[in-house]
Amino acid sequence: MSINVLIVDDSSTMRKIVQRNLKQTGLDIAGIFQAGDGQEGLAVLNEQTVNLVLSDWNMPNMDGLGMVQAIRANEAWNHIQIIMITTEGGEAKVQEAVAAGANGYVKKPFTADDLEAELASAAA
Amino acid sequence: MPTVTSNDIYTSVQGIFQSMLEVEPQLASLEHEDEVLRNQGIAAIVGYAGESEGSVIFTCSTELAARLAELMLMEEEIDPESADVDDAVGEIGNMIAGQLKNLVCESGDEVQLSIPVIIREGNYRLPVPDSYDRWRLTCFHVNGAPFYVEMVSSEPLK
Repeated sequence: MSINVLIVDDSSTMRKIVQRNLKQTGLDIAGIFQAGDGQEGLAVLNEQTVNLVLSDWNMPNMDGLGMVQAIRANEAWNHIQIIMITTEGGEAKVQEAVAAGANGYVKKPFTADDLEAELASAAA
Repeated sequence: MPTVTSNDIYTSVQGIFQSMLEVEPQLASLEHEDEVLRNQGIAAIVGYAGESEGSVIFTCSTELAARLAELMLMEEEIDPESADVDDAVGEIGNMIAGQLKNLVCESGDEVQLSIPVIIREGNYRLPVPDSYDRWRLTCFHVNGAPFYVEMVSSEPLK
């Protein structure tokens, strides 16, 4: 099944890197959308059908954790897989993200292999 | 007392450059420090606050910054004055700060990072530490082009 992916990061550089790495994972991707913060990410979700969200944590306006909480508060978006990709590397942060509803966690810096492994783990 | 050594900074920077830019940074001696970088280069400043407070600063020439942006984005001939360079340098600073913040407190979770601030041509001042044990400067080069990573802490660094 082809999937739509939303990449949320305030860094355009990191959005491009995530997109490049995502294309190396072998996922069947129909479309990739981008957003610069959590608010923009939610706006995309209101307009598009998205299966997977890859999100940074520290962003202006609405951070990644706030966006995860907003997604999980909406039943219509319960099917969406969410992977955090962030410099926030502490175990407590990982647990906080998972408790909020994230399905996986990738710490920056990362490689395409790291992302593929986390996507496989989250899908299992 | 947080423990951050120059070797910690080296290890963090090396890991980031190897995985995200696929280049191997080398340590440079302190005499390579050149005020030209501070006056004409580009700096990413990332503050941290919480259990500990301070800043992490990544400084390099605009030419090296453009080269690093090209490596990160896998693009050619990025204009050194472009927003893409600012963004790439900010992300490098963000990743370095993220690694180092995990060293300044045991859990790594009680310290929050700021959004990177990008300064060009050296027009910035940082909180001046009142002793050298609150400041770490590690100098590197990539193929001869220097860059610096500084950490300024509100409390002594072991």
